[in-house]
Amino acid sequence: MIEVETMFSGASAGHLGELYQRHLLNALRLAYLVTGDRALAEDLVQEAFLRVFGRFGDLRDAGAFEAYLKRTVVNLARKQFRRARVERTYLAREARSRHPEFAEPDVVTRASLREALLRLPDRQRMAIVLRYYADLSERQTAEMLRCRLGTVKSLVSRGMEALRHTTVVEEELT
Amino acid sequence: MNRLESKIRHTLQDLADAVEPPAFGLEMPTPLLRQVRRRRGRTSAVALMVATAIAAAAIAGVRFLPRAEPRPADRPIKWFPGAVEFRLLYAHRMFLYRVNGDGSSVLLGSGGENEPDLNGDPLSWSPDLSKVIVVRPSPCGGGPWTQDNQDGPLRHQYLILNADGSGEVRIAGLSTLPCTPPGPQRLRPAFEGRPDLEVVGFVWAPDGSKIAIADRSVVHIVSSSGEERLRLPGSAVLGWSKDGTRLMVYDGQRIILTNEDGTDARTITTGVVPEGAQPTWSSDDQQVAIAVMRGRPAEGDGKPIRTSILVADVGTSNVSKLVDVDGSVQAQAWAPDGSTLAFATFVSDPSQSIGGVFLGRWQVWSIRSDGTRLTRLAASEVPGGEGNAVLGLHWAPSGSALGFIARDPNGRQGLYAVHPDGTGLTRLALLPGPGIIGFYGLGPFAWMDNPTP
Repeated sequence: MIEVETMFSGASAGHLGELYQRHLLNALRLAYLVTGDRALAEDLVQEAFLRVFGRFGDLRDAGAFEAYLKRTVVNLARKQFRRARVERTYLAREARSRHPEFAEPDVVTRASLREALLRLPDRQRMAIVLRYYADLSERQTAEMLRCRLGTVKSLVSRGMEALRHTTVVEEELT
Repeated sequence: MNRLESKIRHTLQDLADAVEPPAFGLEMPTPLLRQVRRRRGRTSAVALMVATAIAAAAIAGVRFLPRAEPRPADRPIKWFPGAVEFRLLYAHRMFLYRVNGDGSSVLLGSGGENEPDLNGDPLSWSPDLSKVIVVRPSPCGGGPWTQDNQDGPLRHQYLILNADGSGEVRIAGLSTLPCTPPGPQRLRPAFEGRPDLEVVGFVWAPDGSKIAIADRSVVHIVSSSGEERLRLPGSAVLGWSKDGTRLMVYDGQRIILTNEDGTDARTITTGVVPEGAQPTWSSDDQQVAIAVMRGRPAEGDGKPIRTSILVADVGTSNVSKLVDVDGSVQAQAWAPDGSTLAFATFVSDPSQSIGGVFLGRWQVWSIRSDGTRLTRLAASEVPGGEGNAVLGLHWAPSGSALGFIARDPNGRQGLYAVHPDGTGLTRLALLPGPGIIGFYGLGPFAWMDNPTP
């Protein structure tokens, strides 16, 4: 906490730069896992830094910089998903939803677990990443995703089910 | 921890470890500092610090504004006669460009001390480009930004602004959700996961006097001064007739032509038009293009999807197939005279991936309304999914050019223009690089009615 407060009151670009360097990679990795898109992840992380730096003086707990940053990355990803839905992915999503015969188990049978993770629906992937990469509890994940605890359980359960199917197929193949 | 959880943890860690520092390195980009200054205000300590950094950058010759890149050398340039002007909203700010005959561009407006800060996501230009609609979210609770309210319940305001950012008017009548305090959600189940308002489709009447706005199942008719005048059912607005007296709406199943007060309504298509078909009304009022996806999504099983583009005759309600194309259709736009349809497709390629991110290919096409002269105008491989691969396909008022926003192989968004015959492909503007200020991206843009000669 002292470190961050000192940095800000010191008011030097170098200090912000240090903070940026220290947290960039972890933030980028989290953004990549929740979006599955490297370029988008870089954009989200830049925007997240921009927001957190921009609001620095208003933070209740300046020592929680990393938590603020992480939360902002997830929030921006959620907004991006909503934006994308509204804009240009609407067509494909609607089409998929109207073809239940092409549901996830069929889609992922030939995919590796890694690919299957990246192909999970946005919210399922976010829930899984927050639970098993960021090591958040179900309640913390629910707070991060701004949804109910039951919704997180459902998202994780459905995501796990899709991934379980992948591993079963992989094991059968190997 | 069971075996699957363990596998997932290891796989996630492997994926994360594969993410290396970005191409622009670990150094904080100077434009980021500049953005911090804008958001903090000039009086804060941060602003003073950043202003110093910006001054140093300016002295060093660092440029922040998007500039047109050199035109592609492998395409012959038969550019538009004279100059072309367009307006572009970029990263929350308005820029007015003139594009010269050689494809280079000149920034005419914005920048410097007078740069308007529209402070909101841009949505739509008025026909004369004098006004712009933006959406501005704010925490319901107001007060300082904190972890609790920075992305808690939001109140979205839809505003009409003058193009210089002045004259702010709130659009009345749009639905809104009640603000809820942080903590357990009290939203209706239908809105779970998307607690904010998602109003889409702002369509200005040709004379700019009114706007049709789709707000879930209601179409609001709003005056240009933001006052609500009428409501009618519909989930999307396809456009106004040329004389501004009739409105075409989509209700989730049918395309309906109606007066703005809901009278004299007539269904254009007898069959069900699926959601996501992007019905597009021609500017001569005669035809509606409908993109219907066939087959299964390309993800996973390698079987590509295809899309049929159908055309419905407004007068007779006859529907005929115009063309079948590979992939999904991202955007459609009729030429001003209704003779040609331009459309953008996206094909994902599950066999090609970089670091787990699939590659895809967007293509922009034109085809005559009689189904002849299918011509590919532009194409590019792009990383990632189809989201935002191609946005905003717009014809110049003269019909001599098409403009669109698309991503390049490096994932950067650019504004492109091309002749309808595929010649003269030129990049007019480009985001300065991935991750700099690219989150909001380019757009929307609009062609000027009367290009400067």
